[in-house]
Amino acid sequence: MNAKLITVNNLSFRYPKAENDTLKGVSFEVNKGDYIAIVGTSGSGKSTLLSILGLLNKPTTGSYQILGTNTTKLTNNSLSLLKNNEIGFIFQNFNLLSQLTVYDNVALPLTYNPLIKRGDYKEKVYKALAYVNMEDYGKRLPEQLSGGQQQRIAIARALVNEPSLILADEPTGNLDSSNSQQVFELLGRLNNDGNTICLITHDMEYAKKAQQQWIMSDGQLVT
Amino acid sequence: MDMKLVIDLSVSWFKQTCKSYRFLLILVLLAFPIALLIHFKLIQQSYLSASFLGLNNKSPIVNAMLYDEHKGQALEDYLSDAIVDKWPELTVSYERTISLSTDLHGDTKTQNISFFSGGYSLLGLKPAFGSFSQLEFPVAGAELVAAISHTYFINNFSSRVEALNTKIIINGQAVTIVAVMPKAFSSFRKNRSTQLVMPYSQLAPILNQSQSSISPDTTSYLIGPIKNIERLEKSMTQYLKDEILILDESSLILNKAIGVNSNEYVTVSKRVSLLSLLFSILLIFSFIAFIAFISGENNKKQQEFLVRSYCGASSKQLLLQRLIDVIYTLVAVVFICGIILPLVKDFMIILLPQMQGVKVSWQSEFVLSIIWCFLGGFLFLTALIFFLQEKFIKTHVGRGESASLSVKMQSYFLLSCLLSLTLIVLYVAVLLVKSQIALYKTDLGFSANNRFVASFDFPITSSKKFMADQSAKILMSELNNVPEFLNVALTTAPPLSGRVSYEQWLTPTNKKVGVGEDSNTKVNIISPHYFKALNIPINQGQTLSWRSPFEVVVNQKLWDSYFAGESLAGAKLNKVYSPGNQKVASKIVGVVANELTQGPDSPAEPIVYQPIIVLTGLESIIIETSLSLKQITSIITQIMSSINTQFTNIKVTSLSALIEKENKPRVVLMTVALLSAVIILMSSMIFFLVTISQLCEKNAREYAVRFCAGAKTTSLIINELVIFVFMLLPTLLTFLAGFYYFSDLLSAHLVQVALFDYAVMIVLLMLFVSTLITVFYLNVHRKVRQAWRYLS
Repeated sequence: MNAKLITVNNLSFRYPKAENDTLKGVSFEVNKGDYIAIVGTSGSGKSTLLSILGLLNKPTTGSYQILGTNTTKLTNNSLSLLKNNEIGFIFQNFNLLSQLTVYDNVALPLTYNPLIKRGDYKEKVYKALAYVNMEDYGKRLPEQLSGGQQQRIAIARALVNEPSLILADEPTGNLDSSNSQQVFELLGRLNNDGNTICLITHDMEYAKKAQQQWIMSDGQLVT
Repeated sequence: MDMKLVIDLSVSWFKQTCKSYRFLLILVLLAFPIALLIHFKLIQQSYLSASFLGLNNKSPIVNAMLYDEHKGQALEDYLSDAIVDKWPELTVSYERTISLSTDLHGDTKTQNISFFSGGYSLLGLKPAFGSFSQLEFPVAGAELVAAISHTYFINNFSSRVEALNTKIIINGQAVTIVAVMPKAFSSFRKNRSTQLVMPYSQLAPILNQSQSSISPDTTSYLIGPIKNIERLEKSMTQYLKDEILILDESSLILNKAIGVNSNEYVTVSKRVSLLSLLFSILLIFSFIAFIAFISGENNKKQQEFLVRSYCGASSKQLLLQRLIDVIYTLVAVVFICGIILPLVKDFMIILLPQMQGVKVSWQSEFVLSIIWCFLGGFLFLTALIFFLQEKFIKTHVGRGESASLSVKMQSYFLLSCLLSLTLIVLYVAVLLVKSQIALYKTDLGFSANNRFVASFDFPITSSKKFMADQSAKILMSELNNVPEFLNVALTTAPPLSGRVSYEQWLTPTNKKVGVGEDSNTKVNIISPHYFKALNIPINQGQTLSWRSPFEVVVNQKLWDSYFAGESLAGAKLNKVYSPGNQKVASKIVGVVANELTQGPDSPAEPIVYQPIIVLTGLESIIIETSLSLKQITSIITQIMSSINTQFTNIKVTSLSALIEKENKPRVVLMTVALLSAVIILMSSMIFFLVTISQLCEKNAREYAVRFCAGAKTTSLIINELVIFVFMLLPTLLTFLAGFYYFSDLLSAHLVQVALFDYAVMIVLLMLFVSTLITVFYLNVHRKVRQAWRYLS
């Protein structure tokens, strides 16, 4: 049996000035190596759940543990360090910095990792780029790449720090079917290599590529 | 501090900065006025520092001069007496430094000797050896005494105390050395060294002249406890006026310009203040562009910080990045200033021709203090922009999805002000440049190439016999015998000398000749070869001759004004002699082309050329030759001294050099106008581009929605332009009205160019409108092309 990576217990979240909770007493566990797709209608709370799992928001009530650490008790600095070491993000709109080269974009998480020396950047960046078959594009700027290539760079950035958890929010939302197919193949390969993935998608067909499909409705996990 | 993070962020900053040409441009725009302002401060500081005096007291001495009719002079005795009576704690001191021949133990040399009236103890000047008492309190008729400089003491006496009481021969008179000046003292004059110091009262005996004849190049100082120079200056001026010791239009000027020519200091300091003001205004423009650029960049920064926070950056690390951005931006400004500062030195000579040859000392302490001041101010302002960026941007382009009409109007109003001002500055710059180019190209009416002007002092009383008739002819014939002199002539008003003389001349119908109804006639008393020497064409008739004192030549302007259509034969002018208003007729024998003797900006005036008979000492010699200045001076000195030994102070100037000197202020005006226009244009363009880009980014979704709903790109652009023009028109009209109101100030600098040059106006306006449309088109079009991105 795989070790627990995430334990969420009775987690609720309410946005400031909102009248109702967006997440209502959600509880679940994620083991290392799991590949979970969360689907649901707009406003069901998928993205909010992902932002809490990504340590971008703190739960209003309940607890969220990652690798046994209760994140609700951590200071902002510790949360940043944990985010840097253990979590990688993939976004629908790639969020690459246009003024930085591909190499610099991928190296961004290494900047904030105190355990990695500058001398090791090159090896790690090119290892991540090779994983997504983009090792020849290090000196290019994001605007010189296609959408599919940009998303592969974003995936390389997400895994350069070798995180325990990869969170992907509609990673194919801006891509055509061919590029979407490639991204999902890449995510599948990542999972086969032992990475834990939490994915949000609207597309049930792609959701089926994950090991588990969770459905969210009105701030609760129904499956 | 995490050094790795600092290095990473530094590398990232450098990579981004090197790629951003706009950022580098804005840094240069910012650094250039700063470098100039630093240099202006250095000039002021160089003038105001009196370190060469080796004072032990702080600020006990100020330069005092009486400023009258644009010229300053040392205080007269009666004024200093009145000042000391009213302010007994002050001492008025006089100083003059001249070069005289000295003889020490048979070694004859020319040395700089300063004559100082006293105030050593107040200044805290203590002798290295000996005593200043005989210099401080000289007794009339007592032996002549001097203090020697420390360098003189080392070089001539090998630092032996026996130097004291040694006699030195100065200008043929024995002077006893009574003291050695302190080591830190080098002179009473800036950028000069003094070997000997003597009491001011002994200047006249040394020169064998009366005390009253010694006034030129003398400087007067106030020594004593002076706290507030400006207040003292005001109250002293008022007191002297109240006591009717000075005229109402005169004023006392006190300043810290020790050891420099007071008139030069006043001229330079006025220009420096004016230029400082101008470049401070330009700096404000550059800073506005800088703020606009930084706030525009901060939009991108916000996105970058968000991504960095996803990548695990803590708020402290993001703060560190902010600090690094601010500090490196400032370091970049200082670095570029450091590069520009040495280059500015040459540029400064163009702006301030008076600075040619003046040593500007680079006092590191002073430069550092200025840099710290700038850094402090910039750090504060830049930090404010960086840290309050969200608020700043929001107020700049408004909140919400799309910029509201009121937000657009606010932004467009600011932009309209800046662009209207830029348009007017550009128009003024074009007019000034056109005017100066026109002046530069103006034919002065005479040739300057290989022409020289020699001036000389009046032969004094003992040589009255030289003033006999034909003296001018004798001088000319002697000079004409020099084979290298192609043409030689005498004139009382050489070109560009500023010398003019007027008489009263009437036409046969008793019409006054001159400019204006009551004005007198400009005259030039010349020898016959004058027109040939200066290559001035004779349009009608002939030149003057030595034989006929009652013949005159007039210029074309005079002829056209009073004799147009008449025949030269029989044309006459009457000269009015006073007293008695007796009229003597002179025949006009020739008409010559107009010469602009006062420079191209002064229009041609009617001139009567009369023949010279006797030398009065007010003449100059025009020489056409290919010899060098030195050779000409030597030949003229030799010939003139052979004619009469009383010809003194012969000075030769190249006419081309005079024209160059005349053109210098023109170059300055053009440079300043162009530079100001370029800086303002660049700054406002950056501000304009950034603002429009921000507003279009803000409205991108609105454009996309309208575009999807069937709106054409052109209609979207027109919509934006209509709002902008609605704001621009009244603003531009207001600025134009202001320009019209103050146009008299500009008219004074415009020669040969109309104030309202419609061609320039139309061209500028067309350029302005096309730039406006292009910028709007490019920005809106870019957003429309990416419409899908903003909607999906």
